[in-house]
Amino acid sequence: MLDTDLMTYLAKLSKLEIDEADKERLVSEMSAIVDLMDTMNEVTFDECENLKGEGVNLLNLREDISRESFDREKILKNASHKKDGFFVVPKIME
Amino acid sequence: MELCDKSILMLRQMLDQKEISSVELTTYYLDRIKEFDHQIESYITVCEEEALKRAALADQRIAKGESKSLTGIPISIKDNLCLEGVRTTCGSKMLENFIPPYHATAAQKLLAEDAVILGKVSMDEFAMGGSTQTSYYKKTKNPYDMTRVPGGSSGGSAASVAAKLAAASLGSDTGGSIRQPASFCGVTGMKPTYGAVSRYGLVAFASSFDQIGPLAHSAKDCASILNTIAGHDIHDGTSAKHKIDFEAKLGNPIKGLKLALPKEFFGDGIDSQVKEAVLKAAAEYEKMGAELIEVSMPSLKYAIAAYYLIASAEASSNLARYDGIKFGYCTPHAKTYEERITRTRKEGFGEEVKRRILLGTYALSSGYYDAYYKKALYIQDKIKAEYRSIFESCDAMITPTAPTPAYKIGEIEGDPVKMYLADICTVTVNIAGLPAISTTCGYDNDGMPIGMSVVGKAFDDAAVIQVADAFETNFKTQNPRL
Repeated sequence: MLDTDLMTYLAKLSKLEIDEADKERLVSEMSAIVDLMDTMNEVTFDECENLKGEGVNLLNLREDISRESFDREKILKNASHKKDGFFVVPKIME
Repeated sequence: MELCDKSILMLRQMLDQKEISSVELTTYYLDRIKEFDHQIESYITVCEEEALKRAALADQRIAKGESKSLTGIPISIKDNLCLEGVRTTCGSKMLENFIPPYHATAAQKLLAEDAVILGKVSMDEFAMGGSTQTSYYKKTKNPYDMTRVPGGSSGGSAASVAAKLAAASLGSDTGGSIRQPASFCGVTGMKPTYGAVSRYGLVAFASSFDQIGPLAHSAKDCASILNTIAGHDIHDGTSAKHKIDFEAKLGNPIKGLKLALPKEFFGDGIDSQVKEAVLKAAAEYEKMGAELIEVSMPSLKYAIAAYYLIASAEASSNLARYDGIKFGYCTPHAKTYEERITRTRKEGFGEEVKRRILLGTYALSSGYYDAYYKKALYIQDKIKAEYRSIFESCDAMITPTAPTPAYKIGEIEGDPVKMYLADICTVTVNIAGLPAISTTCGYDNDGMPIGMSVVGKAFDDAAVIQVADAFETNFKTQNPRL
């Protein structure tokens, strides 16, 4: 059951800041979506015991050989904070 | 026939016979964009200078007799395909200032033939939507009725082709995002087999479903574009080594083909005019000598839930990269590292994107994984098995592309569940990784286009194109009045 506590937890896992005022609305919207997802409960795993449920196969991966990569300056152009060829972030450890 | 009504194949002939130059053709389309796009709002970025430069290069190539199928043809591309040096927004504030340092493989392949990229067209934010009304930039209108949505997420692509503001367009399709807008805007749009076209440089949404494909005036034009952009690419681990000739079956007889009509796709939720138009089209195939076979896909009722679960789970992971550090929007209101990330994501993402990230996180979190994500993967396998069984006895399948024609702007976009349910006719194709094309098969009482989808076996894209083309050859389309 979705509630504001679970929403706070999901927001934390998702690294999304959510205003307190928006939490109730999100709970209501997400509950309607989760109800839709719950239609899957009608399917039982035994019904599909011969199915693997593994998702995509990656059959065509390239050989693990090092190749020339992007130019560092070119990549850094899109970063908002950078210095001496590095990304700059707020201080993490005091 | 006006210049803008001509197919890629006709324009190819005109260019090669020097009846028109690519610079003239490109200028013609750029003028149309200036004249009409303020109403349609399909383009986020018009690359006028670069397009004219490319057109001049195309003309040199044509003069040397070295033209390829798309040389000098003006094309728009969805704004989630990277183009080096050109802003690529993905319809989001998050990428407002993002200038890619490389070309997407599909775009690179267009440019390698000196196709002319006119600009980047609008889309639902991060391709999450079916109306193009969640775009942070242009909320594109339907050229057949400006009060209606063009569909989505490739709504800018579909509208730019329908309004003749490009000869064709590239879009992407994760749950119907090429086919549904093609249906709403009366153009032809194809999602090829999963793995046919490299997604390198396509902004990732749900990687196990995402495919790039064309929107154009006909199935033949789609085939021509796909032959250019498809092929194995070491930069995309899911791109297939299987070589497909998309034009291989064009013109082959329909007589003797077995076409499946899945009864669940013609049920209560489908608008009666849509049902009637698609069944009328199926009857045309019967007249051509095809055999219609009623089939069943019992798992269709779980398809929306499984699709949205898997797609959102993958999106929540894919969109973790937007942290305000490496590229994209960065909040100016943060003192700590944690604030930088969480506030950037709060301010940079729109509401629908946030909902999907939260849903995906919920589905993948401890305690819910088996109930949701794993169950969705099992349903995916069931749907694949049902398709396999249908294609054991049938060559292709015919369905409506969308339950209704284009609806009014503001009618259902505010209700996520209604929006999700509207994808019922398209998502199973992505779930099973199959090729499918949408082509116009009729118009409703308001003159809005109705789309029919042809679905085929994996890597039998040529059959899907063959079947759609056979219908188009005898069907007269109606142009929107701008």
